[in-house]
Amino acid sequence: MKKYSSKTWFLFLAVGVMAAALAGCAALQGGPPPAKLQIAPDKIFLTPDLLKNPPVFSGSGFGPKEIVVIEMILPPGVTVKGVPPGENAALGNATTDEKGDFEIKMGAMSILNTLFQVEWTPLIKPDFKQAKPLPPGTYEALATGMVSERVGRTKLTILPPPEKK
Amino acid sequence: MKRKSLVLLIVTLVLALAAWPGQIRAEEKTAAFLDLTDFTGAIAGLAGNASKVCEATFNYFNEQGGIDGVKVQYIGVDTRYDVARALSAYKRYRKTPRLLLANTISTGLSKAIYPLIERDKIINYTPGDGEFQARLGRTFIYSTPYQDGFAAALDWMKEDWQKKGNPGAPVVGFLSWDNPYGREPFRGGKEYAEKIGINLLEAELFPVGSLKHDVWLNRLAAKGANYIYVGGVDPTQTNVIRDGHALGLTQKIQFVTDYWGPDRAVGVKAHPEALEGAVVVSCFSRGTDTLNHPMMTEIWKKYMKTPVSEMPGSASIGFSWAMHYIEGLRIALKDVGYEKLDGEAMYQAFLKLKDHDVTKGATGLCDYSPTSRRMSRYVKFYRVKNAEVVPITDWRIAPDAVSLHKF
Repeated sequence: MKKYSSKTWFLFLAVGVMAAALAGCAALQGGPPPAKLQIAPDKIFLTPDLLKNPPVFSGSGFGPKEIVVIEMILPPGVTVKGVPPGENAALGNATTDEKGDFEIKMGAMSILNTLFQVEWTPLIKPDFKQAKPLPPGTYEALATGMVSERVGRTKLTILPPPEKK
Repeated sequence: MKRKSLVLLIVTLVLALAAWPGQIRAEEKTAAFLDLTDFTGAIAGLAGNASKVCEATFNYFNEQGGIDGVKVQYIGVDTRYDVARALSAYKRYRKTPRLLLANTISTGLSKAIYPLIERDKIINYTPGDGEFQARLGRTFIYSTPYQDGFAAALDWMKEDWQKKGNPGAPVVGFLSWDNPYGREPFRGGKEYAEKIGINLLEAELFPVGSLKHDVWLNRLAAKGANYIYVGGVDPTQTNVIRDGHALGLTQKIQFVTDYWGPDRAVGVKAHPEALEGAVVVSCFSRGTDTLNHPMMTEIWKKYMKTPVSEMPGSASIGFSWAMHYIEGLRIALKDVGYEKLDGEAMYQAFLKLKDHDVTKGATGLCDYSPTSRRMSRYVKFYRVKNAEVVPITDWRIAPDAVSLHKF
């Protein structure tokens, strides 16, 4: 076994003490907890039932009373009407409570315009016949605090339509 | 060899600098207008068309050298009437250099975005909710508040009722969408009806997208309505009046609609017979007034590539958005100059627009001031006649119904 000199041991010790001190300082300063985003359920079928039972977005670690925007990152080849290429598609928005937490249901407009990509009739009714639902797959979703710029991430899976029996 | 290389390097650098016009020469001066509109969603027929005319108006001025040398950068975003998309777009564009104003086309969006407008010290437009007049801030109503317009319509109804030889005041029904916009005219309008002795029936509210309106119409008719005020966004009002016509109600009840009522290019085109005689109260010019507006028609001909006869009523809304921005920008540039131009300068400039004839007749005189967020106090009445929308009054001041309500 290789032997180390006392100088080397001292160097290791000094580096260790400094690292511990820095970590301790960070803890004492109470740096913000990491921002988090959850979607429940995180696996969905694109059926009209979504309008009755929309997914719920919840998050924590944002600023108090902060506006948070929840978006989906569109993979190459997936487009959403009205969203320029390379941009994210919005899924929802919320305002956090005093603790920086939020919980909201996905809004009907976002479900219709982004997940189903419906057209609209002159009578202002969604036209499902011309809808182009997002393709099945796992999408990355993120929640961004508009003031703190903290970002929480998670996944949302759109399942293939259930087989008809 | 070394000397030759050095000379070559210097020559290359000089040529590269000379060929870099954008950065080395004066950069184009711009100010940005962020339009969080709806080009393909639920209210694209109204908002999307207005936005196209808004952009065309900026193009018209830009081609003439801009506003005192500053060109307007129009950023149009298709939010599809979704607050989440609008906020996401705002996140994307909020750091655009010299972004002075965001056009937020729904009341819900205006309220949701307000903390960011306040933080970024810019201003925003909102459609017509009187709350923005009751609680003064950086949000400017781009119309006459809904309750003020409704109160003006109540005045007109009473006047019309008495002109026809009837005593006292008429019974008035109210029919609109079951949402905050639909209910807004009542917040102050109800109090105004009481003030002038009108028997205003309980509001009948229906879901957006309703196909038939017979139930609500029959209920109001059974309660003795002499006039029915209809809200929504065309073709909603057209379809309500179409149903009223089919029920024979247009013979005995006078239908009056709010600003977003029968459009010459939408409802009037589809159901001219049913709409004949219907009245529209509007804070924007409509029908033949719009067709005879010199600057709007010039802009339409140049940029819309369709005949002026196809110009919708919403053209004057988009024109008004652009013209108020331009007038504010002109004042801000005069007050602080281009280098200090920011949202705060635009806010201060907007507070100085009172009594300016901003739109040359497409709207009444502007009312924005330290105590007013109303685009104008003026409204005008129109009637559908022979498949066209024609004026039946001049601009007249709308009562202050906002102040009658406790927000």
